[in-house]
Amino acid sequence: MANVDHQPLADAPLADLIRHRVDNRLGAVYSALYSFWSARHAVVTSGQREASARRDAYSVVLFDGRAEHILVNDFTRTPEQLLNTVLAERPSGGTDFSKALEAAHTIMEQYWNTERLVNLSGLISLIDS
Amino acid sequence: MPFGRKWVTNTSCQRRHVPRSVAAFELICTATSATSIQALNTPEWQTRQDTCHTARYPCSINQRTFTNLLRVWVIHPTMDIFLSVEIPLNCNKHSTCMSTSVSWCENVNAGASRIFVIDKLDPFFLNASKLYLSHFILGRFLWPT
Repeated sequence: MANVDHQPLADAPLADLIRHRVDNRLGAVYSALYSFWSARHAVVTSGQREASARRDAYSVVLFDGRAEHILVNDFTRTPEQLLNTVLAERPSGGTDFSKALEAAHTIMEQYWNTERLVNLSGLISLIDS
Repeated sequence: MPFGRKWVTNTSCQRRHVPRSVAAFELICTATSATSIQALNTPEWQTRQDTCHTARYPCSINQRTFTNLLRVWVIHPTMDIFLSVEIPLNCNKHSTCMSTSVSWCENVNAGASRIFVIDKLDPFFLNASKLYLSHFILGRFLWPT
């Protein structure tokens, strides 16, 4: 059931690694994730900060018929380490949205930080190209 | 308990819990082919110590499908509202979607808790009834600098 109508971009960073492991739709998503993580990492490191100083906490929930916490509230892994973590996971059957939401909910509650700020202004900007 | 007191049901969505008395929680639904997604930083925001990400979607699917695919939900923590914002599309006279994008900006020093929820089986949209969980979701909490 691993559809291959969408695959990782051939010229994307670490494309060979991703395509070798998961050359299908899920691999395309991993590629997109890695692009995002890399972009954030570049911003942080350009500010002379160490990777460990990242203030973004990453959690990854993969689900099919059940949901798994692949990564929870991580502050330290590099983009490459994050990618390797998810690459171990392959497509499988079933789709249970409720379990996915419950898993995300659990993480949100477990790692809640009361210092978070209510600030909706500028939270989202939508543009069309 | 950081989470709210009720479930909100939207006809086009799966039911989901509303965070209440909490910070903003944002779901950014990235859709269509992930091969077209790019995360970009916009220079003018970097000068303000902010960073912006843009996911661009060159697409070959029709407008209706694409409109369904690209939505952003924002839950306001104090008002218990559930917004569905459709992203503007750039379509030609034949209503064929040419491209569009979703962008968001944030202070790079602020940090956020991001939860990526990914459907292993079919991480792309099949139809509108599986709207926002069929692809990956970037859930973002914000906290102050």
